[in-house]
Amino acid sequence: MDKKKVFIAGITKENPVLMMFLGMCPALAITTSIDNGIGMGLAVIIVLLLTNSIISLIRNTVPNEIRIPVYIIIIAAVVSIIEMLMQAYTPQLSTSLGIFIPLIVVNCIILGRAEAFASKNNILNSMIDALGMGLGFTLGIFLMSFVRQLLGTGVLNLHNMFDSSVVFFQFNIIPKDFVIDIFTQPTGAFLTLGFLVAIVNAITSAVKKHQANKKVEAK
Amino acid sequence: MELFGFAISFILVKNIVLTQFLGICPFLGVSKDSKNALGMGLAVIFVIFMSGIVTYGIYHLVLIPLEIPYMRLLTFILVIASLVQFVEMVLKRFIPSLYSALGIYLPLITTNCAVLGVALANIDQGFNFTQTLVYSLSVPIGYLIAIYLFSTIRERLELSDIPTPFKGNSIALIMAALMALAFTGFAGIA
Amino acid sequence: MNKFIKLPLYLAIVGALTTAALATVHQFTAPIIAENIIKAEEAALQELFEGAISVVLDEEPEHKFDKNEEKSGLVSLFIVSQDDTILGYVYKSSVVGYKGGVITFLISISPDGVYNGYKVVTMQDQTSGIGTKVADADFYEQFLDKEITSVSEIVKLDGATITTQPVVDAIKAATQHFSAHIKQ
Repeated sequence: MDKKKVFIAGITKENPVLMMFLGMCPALAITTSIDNGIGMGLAVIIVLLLTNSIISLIRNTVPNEIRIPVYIIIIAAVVSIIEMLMQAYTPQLSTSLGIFIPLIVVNCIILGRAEAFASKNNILNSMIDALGMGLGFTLGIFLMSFVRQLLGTGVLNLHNMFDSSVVFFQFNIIPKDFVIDIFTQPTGAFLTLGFLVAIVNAITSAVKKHQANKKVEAK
Repeated sequence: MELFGFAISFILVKNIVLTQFLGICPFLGVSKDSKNALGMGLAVIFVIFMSGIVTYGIYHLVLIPLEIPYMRLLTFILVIASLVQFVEMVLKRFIPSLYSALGIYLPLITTNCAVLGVALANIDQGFNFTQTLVYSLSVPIGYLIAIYLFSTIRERLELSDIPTPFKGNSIALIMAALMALAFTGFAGIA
Repeated sequence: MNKFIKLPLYLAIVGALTTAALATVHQFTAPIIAENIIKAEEAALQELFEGAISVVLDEEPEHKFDKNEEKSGLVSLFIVSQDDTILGYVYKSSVVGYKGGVITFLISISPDGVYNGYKVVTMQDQTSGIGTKVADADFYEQFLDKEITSVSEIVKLDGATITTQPVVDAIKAATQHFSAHIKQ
């Protein structure tokens, strides 16, 4: 198995948010700030790493008839643990992400990767897949948060998630009067994702065309 | 009367899809055909209403007395998965046409954020039993309205000339943006 | 091994392992989470009292809220002190107002039974001028700085009964809890 291919696929060709349209609920709901975007992304990466590893570990012992319930139990347990850890060590982030932390359980990406990859591959590859998919997801929601926070509040900043009084950086780019408030709201969320998807579509078809032309030239 | 205002606010003002962003995946996936959207909406009403009640009961009658509230995710998701399995079996037996029309989207109701979302919200917002009943019923009704309206728009969209990059989910999302905007008009009602 | 034994056994083992893992994590995160609750409220609590205060979460088993008290909305009990004297027992309550909006507020009762603090912390979706009255002086003047025994019936505000009622019920629950467990 080409490990690099597996890793890159999760970020580009099989990007969960922008190409496969999985995990859209958090992508729309919490992307109002970069703090949220990166926080949620990291949470999902950690959950994915854990669930893919565990399920890959036991993949040969799970009786086929009960594999989905077993996967669900494991995923729910991992998310519950992450939820408790976040409430303890990153309380601000935990409050702003709110219900979407426990909702990671039903994020289609997690069960999807467990079923499609981790149940059929060894641990190392499963972890690479988890990392790739997780980063792809994080990329998608980071783009969303970046646009929405920039256009909606005019400010770009990042806080330390363990101690929210520490600010890593803050750029006030657009003055308050010119801020397009709607980006902080549902309408803006749908709009941003819609346009992002359109841009990705345009890029993918341009790349495909380029590759097809190269093939023709090579003949 | 107060419960009615309660219900209206969750159906329209705080519509689960257009304001809370729960249930997006099937919202985009099933809404290409209005008949399927209707079927999906009705199935979701049943699942959310039943799971809302059962999970509420389990939380307050089992988890809290045993002092294991942290088991809620595990137990809730197992309840939901079982309920969906049950609905699948019933539909397969009694309405096979709907069963095959919904296809993969039927078992995917288990991972519909709206279902688990409602179960968790009933607890987090501290509802009593009556409020839980109303919430668990009005939220999916709002979902049905949103998904049905959306599907009728999308059916029209199929016949329009759309620039290539926007085809598919992109234009659907932009349409959803306009719907969300329209729904903010309800803000004054309740 | 017979399938009817293997499948449930496997599920049971997975279930038991995951429950054990959860219980362990819960053990060592619960105290930290409790501290975070205090830290989050500290700012609001500070506004109720002047000068430096120290806050502890009341975790005495006898003072634990029973089901009815939790139903009325009581969430936590803080003991606020200053230089070894207790300034007040602050009840944090979370109630559902009109339209399902959540109202969180703090009510403080001094050791000798006087309402000495009231603050609405968060208020979701309340109709301005009607539901929001629970944060107005008109409302809290009816009990603030009065002894708990003298305020037997907090008068409902005109046209805001749906929102003030849960708040009033929570205040009554807090008062009853105080009288039953804490009052000397």
